[in-house]
Amino acid sequence: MDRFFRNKPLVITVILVIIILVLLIATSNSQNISGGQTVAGGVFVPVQRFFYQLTDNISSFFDNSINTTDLAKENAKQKEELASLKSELSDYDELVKENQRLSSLLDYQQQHTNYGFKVAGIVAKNPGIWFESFTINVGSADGIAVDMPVVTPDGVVGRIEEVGLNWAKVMTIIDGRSGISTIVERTRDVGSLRGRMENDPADPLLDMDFLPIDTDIQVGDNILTSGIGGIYPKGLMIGSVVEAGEESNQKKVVVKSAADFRSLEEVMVMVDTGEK
Amino acid sequence: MRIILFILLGAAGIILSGSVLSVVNIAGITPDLLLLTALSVVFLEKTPAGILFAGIGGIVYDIMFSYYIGFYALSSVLAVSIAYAILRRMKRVRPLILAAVGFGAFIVQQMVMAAVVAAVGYEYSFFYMLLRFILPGALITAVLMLPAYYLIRILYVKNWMTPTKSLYDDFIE
Repeated sequence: MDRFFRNKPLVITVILVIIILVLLIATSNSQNISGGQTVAGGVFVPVQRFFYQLTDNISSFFDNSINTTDLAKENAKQKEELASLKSELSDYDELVKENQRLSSLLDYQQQHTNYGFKVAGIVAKNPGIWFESFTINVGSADGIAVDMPVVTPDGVVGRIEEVGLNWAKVMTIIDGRSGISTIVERTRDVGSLRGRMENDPADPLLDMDFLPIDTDIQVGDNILTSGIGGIYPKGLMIGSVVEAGEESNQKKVVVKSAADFRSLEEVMVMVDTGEK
Repeated sequence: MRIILFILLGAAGIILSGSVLSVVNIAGITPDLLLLTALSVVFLEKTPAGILFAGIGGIVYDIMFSYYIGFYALSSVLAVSIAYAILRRMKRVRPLILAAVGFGAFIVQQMVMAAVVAAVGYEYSFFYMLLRFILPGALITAVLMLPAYYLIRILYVKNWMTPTKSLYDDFIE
């Protein structure tokens, strides 16, 4: 077998490419996932959750350390005590932040009692440059299904695109494949919001199309879901207009999402949109 | 042992890419650990094991992160295969060659991905992607190629990943 591998690199490459192409074509038109995917996802999810949280905590610790550097210099004699305090403060800050996040999720749920929510933690993010998606730690065993909306108290995050037993993949609204029917809160004009493939991760923006040319849309206007399309219920906050103009007889409107995609840790899946 | 280490390297690459590196990245660009490992194996063995590693690891990576199974695997296999074709007759490994192959392989990988994305029908500005993501990503890969190569080389020096005798004829390190 090894001899074969050594002598036939071209054959191996061709066989691999054919197998992968078959998989690519087979999965590009299907939303059903295989048992293999469910098992592989199930095995990786707990490990990824651990590493994701660990890294996030380390990042927060360094953020806190940098923010308290000046204070540490002024109190050189109490360096050791300060280091200990900083460590405790870091833990405390983490707890406070987590408490604040969970409180805001609870507030949101109490304000939207007509919907059913499932809180989920982010396990992993797609590390590539082409797609903006992430994996959460709830799946079909928790009642999650494809196309369920995913939100935070700030605004819409995306929708479920794949579900395993204990995990699900979320396609965010800033992904280049995403498109949502929207309504301008003030003018009630309906348009379509789409993500950008070439989004800057630090400042993701969305483009709004199909608006009437005579619309009075202005910078600062809020953009909500229109309820058309059947995935997102009407009236969910998406973001606000940061650029409004005209280009080749069409309205050119750029929207900044209300949800902060850089600091997402927990999200809510709308398991019941109140429409059934 | 060899197979177990390949599995461990692949699993570590996938887990770290989705968790640690997606949080701690460089201006939104995440180093591609699977590609770095596959290229290092090609450099060290001069056998197609690196191509197989890229293919199998790539499919698992796609299962974890991609919507299209094969999106990452296809581009990685092609990138590593080209690297293998260039490197198989090369007797000595120099740092500049390591960096150049890392740089080139990342560009090939991303070009294949760009072609698939365009073929599926999504619109994007290619030049923006090239300047903002692909070229900086290739530079990061080139820089990281050296430590990746020397880290994985340790496994070979300790005979933990040495290929079988039939492959050993061509094994340079």
